[in-house]
Parts: sequence; C-alpha cells; structure tokens
Amino acid sequence: MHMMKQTLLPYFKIALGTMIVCTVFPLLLNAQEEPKQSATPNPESLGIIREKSLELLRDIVPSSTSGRDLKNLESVGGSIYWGNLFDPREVVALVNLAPEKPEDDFEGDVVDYEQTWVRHLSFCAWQKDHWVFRQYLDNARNLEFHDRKDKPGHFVQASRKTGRYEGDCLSWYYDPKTMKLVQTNFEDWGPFYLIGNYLCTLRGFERRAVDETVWVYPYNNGRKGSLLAIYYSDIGSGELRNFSITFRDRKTGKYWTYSFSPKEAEQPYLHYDVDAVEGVWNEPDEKAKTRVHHNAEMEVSEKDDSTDQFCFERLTGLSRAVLDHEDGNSAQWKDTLPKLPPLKQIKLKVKGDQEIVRHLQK
Amino acid sequence: MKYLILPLLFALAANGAGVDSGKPLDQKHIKQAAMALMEDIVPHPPVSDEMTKISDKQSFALWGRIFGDAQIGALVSVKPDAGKPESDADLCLLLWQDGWKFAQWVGKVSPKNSTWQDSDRDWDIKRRVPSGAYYVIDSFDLNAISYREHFSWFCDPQTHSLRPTGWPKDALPSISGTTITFQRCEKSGYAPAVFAIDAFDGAPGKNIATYSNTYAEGHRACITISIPDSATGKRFTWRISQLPQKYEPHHDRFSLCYSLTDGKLEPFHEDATVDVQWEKGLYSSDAISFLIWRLTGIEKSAQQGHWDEDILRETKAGRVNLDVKKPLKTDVVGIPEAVKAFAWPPSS
Repeated sequence: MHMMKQTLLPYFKIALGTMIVCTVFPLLLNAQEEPKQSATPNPESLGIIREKSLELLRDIVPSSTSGRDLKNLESVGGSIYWGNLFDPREVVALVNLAPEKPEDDFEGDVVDYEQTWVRHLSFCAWQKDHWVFRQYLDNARNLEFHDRKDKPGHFVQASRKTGRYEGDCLSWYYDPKTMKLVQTNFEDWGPFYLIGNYLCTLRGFERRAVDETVWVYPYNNGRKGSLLAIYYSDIGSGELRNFSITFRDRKTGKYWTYSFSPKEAEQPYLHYDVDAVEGVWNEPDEKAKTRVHHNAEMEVSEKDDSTDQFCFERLTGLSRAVLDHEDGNSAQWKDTLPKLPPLKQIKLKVKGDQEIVRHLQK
Repeated sequence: MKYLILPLLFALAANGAGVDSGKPLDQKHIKQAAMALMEDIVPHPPVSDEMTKISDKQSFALWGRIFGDAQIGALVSVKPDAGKPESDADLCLLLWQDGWKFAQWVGKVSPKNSTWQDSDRDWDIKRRVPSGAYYVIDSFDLNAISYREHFSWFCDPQTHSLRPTGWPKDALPSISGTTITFQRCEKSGYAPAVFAIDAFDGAPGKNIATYSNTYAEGHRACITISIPDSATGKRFTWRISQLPQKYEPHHDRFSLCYSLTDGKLEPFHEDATVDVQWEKGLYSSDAISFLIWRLTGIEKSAQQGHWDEDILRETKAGRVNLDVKKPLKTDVVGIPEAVKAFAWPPSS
C-alpha cells in the first residue's frame, strides 16, 4: 500500500498542479472575452423608468446643495442614494427602482431568483427646486461608492445576478465635464478594487466555494494596464494548502504560472511540489494540457503561514499589500499602497527545473 | 403577578418623554443627528402603510404612519459615538408638523446596522394586524437578558408618543391574531426555547399554552406543552416524543405522556401513541404543529413566534405558507384523553 502511495503520489500532484493551471488559464481567457450585456430599455420603457424614478424622489427635498453626506432611503418603490456624491456643489441621487417580477418567473426557489429580477438604476440631479433625470445607467443593484484622491475621483460599483451562479459586476466613474457617470469597463467578470497604483479584480458570481483569486494590473489615472500577476489559493476550503502565482519574468517578458502543492497531508507544510507552466497568458487557442510543464521540489526552512505571500513577493516583485482584502467580496479601496513590514525571510531549497530554481532562489 | 406592574408603567409612560432618564436629551448632538438625518425628507401624501428606511453613517430611521393614523412620525436611532459600533444607540421620535419636530427621546436600543443591509439583530417597528397598532421591538438575544431599561414600546396614537409596553425583557414578543407569544430560553444561555402564548387584547392576558421543544437522539423532536384546564385552572402537561421512522414516508409517529401535575415532571411514561398519516410526505414539524393546534387551537404563526404582518408579507411573496397542515387521519391508541385530544378527523 505504501509502495502504491509512493508511486502514485507524484502523478497525483502533477494532476493537481495541472488542475490548478487548467482552472486559472480558462478563467483568464474567459475574463477577456465576456462583454457586458447592457439591458438598455426602449424609449417607452425609459419614459416609465424616468417617471417612476422621479416619483420615488418626491419625498426628498434637499434643504441645501452643499454639505450633504451620502444618505440611503429604502421604500417599497426602491432605493435612493443621495447627497453631494461627486461634486460638493451639487446634490445628486442614484435611484434603484424596486425589482420587477418577470411574467415567466421561475416558481420554485423564489428567494434565490428574486435576486435576478431587473432593477433599473438611474442618475438624477437636484436643480434649484426639483429633480432632473440625468441618465439611465443599467439593470444593477448592490451599490457601493468609492472616492479617490487622483482622477477620476469618484466611482460607483454595482452588480446584477443573471442566474443562480451567474451575474455581472458593473462600475462607473464620474466625469465632471459631462456631469455624467461613465462605465469604467475595468471589471473582467468580477468586482475590483483600487489600491495605490494597482487595480485588482476578484471573482464574480460563479459557483466556486474554495477558490480565491486576485488579478493585479497597474493603474494610472483611470487607465488599466497589462496584467502583472495572478494570485490563486484554496483558502476558502478552510485552510490554505494549494496556491498558484502567475507573474511576468522581468528578463524574458514571458508569463509563468507556478502551482504549489504541499507534499505533507497535514501541517506543517515544509515540502512543496512546484509545477510551472510557461506561456503567453492571453493566447486563446492554447490549452493548458498542451503546455510544457516544468517541475521542481521546494523545501521551506521552517513552518511559516505566509509561504504563499513570500512566494508572491519573490516571483512578482510586488508587495503582498496589493492582495489586501478581507474576502472575495469585500475589497479595500486605498489611495496608497500600505507599507507592510517585511516578511520573515524564508530559506528555500529548490531542486529540479533550472528555470524554477532561477525564479525562486533569487 | 407578572403583569400587575403594567398599569403602573403605563401611567408612568403617559407623559411620553418622561419615561426614561432625561440625561440623553442634554446631549445636543443626538437631537442634531436625528434632525439632520430627516432634514431632506418632506413627506408627500399618500404615505404608504409600509415604513420607509433612511440611513447615513451615524443614524438610522424608519418613518411613516407609525401610529396608524394620519400623523407621520420618524423613529431615529443615533449611535452616540460613530467610532464605537458596539455601543447602544439613542432612539428618538420626530413628528412631521409642516417640518420635523423633535418630540421624544424614547430610550436606548441596539444600534441599527449602518450598512445598507438589514440585520435581524436590530430594532424594528411591528404592526399588529388587523388593528393597525404599531410596536417598536428592540433586538433580542435569546441567550442574554436585556440590560436596557425597556425592550419594547407601544406607538400610542392618542398621545403620538411612545410608551414602554412593560412586557417581559427576557422574551421576544410577537403578536398573531388574538395571541401574543413570548419566546425565551428556559435558562439563560441554554436551550430549549420556551414559547409562552397568552391571550392578547391590547395587553397580554391569560396564558393559553406554554411549550418547549428539544431534540432527542436521531434528531427526534420532543415537545412539552403545558395548558391550563378551562374549568379548574389547573394545568396539565402533554409530552410528545417523536418515534423513530419506519421508512414509511406518509407517517409520523409519536409517543404521548399525559400529566396533570404542573410542576416537576414525572419521568416519561407512554400513555398513548399517535400515528399521523399524510396524503403525501411532509416534515415531522408539520405533524408537531398539527398536534399543538389540536391541543390549543393556536395557529402556526403564533406557535413559532411570528408577527402576522410578516407572515402576510411572506405569504404574499410566495415565500412561506404557515397554515397548519391537516393530515388525512390520525390513529390514536391509549388513554381516552389522548384519543379525545388527537383524533382526526374529529368525528372519528
């Protein structure tokens, strides 16, 4: 039995590494392909939405046009978020009408499917003594507001479910010239957060119970750059065992994805199988199984809970602070990247593929 | 005895604002924060029966026709210190009189969640159907007796003020039809939950039944229900213990123990068994609700401690149906009291 284990274990670990790679790469590919399905209503429907939105706003009469912090009102007709949200001299409101039950609604699990009902979101502004309908945004809910010191300075994030495990994340920034909200198109398929000069996207609505993934891009004054890194872990299973890191080799400019799987069944995890795949991350025709796998074994000098973060910093050259979020849905927006204390230097012994040794034993 | 103090509390509460310590009224920022939250709101008729929620970083409000009449009021809870989310909030009443007027400092309540989402642990306004009387119920932790001075208030349409109900502070109240259910823990911090169901006509009256449920090995339900005899006033107790399933999906079987004593219970002795037979498979909880209903006539919403308004809303949305399910028949074997109490249909 022991012999069998010894024989099969390497194959199992390669399979696991392949599984992780196969998970991350298709996600990357999908991430670039998913266009937003904007549900822009026809002119007649738009007229009704405008009328309903202004009707919902009837009880809100701002007593002054400045010093209005964000407030939220929820009534049977829907939700309103209002205040000096973007411009300190103008009171504006985002009006999210109550969801409309579709005629062909699924009769079974009502609670779950209510989340997929259409909720029209519009942007209105207070002018002198009345509300003006400025802009229809989309079918969206779950609004969040974020402010930045750089430009653009104000963001609105929202989302919509389109199925049990499907949905879109949406976001807009405020354009002071047009006084309208403009779609950022930053989200590939999940939510994102801005931290310093980095834009980090997270997983969306798909049914994945154990995975946590962060895609890291450079960000500069409203512009999203090319992918810098991907961090993946199975922390959602309750304990971080397997993790993978995608990064760009600074010498060659090529992307690599490294998958780490501990050899030990239980903690402490001191020995890892490292499966590395070289490849251009956005080649849509490339299948992970056709890639060349490079393998190595990594030994960690002592038990350390931050092996994944240590490897992330070493391989990507980025601070682990970019991964700073509480969970997949609770991103932390920050104007500057927090300065974290340096990680304890772990001694790594790496044997195997020379490229892996080069990357890990710097 | 427990409700003898009620008239006294009501008398004390008659002046509205004087029901609690006046200290928080000295704190101008509470009043200012409450007024600030509502300052942009100008109610336009018709005002819906449903309450409207408003919140900002520090305060939360429910406003609408909170007295059931034309008077519009707002109940605003203000966190005294925005930096300390755990601290109690101050509940204030504002009345709309061509502008918002600060009317009453009501008391301390659990701080309403400042995020946009609801939380079960926060205070709420509950409406009694069909009378339209409104009550404010603070959040409740079954494992801890509330340390706050008051736990629930009646929105008095005569004085347009809030007054403490004087109901027990160790139980979560809910009004369904002509009954009020007080849900509490038998012993603080311990199961089982005890449901005391009293008659209700503006105030809690005689106890109709008190029951608790626990689970035995194999997740089998065990119910203890105590009921006063209408003639003698003495209480009798039924203990209903679910029997192991026999892989018959349309049957729920229970062992019954009947006792006239209303104190320390004797060891369980089987006086009868009842086999509840369904047309199609239902959960054993449906059988338990049916048995309690046969004994007391109490509907499921009261048995489970729900407000009628919530049930109506959930039923309308198709989320829940709290009608007591009626079985095809029951087979009762044992003492005559059991046959009389649990035979179904009644004529059989």
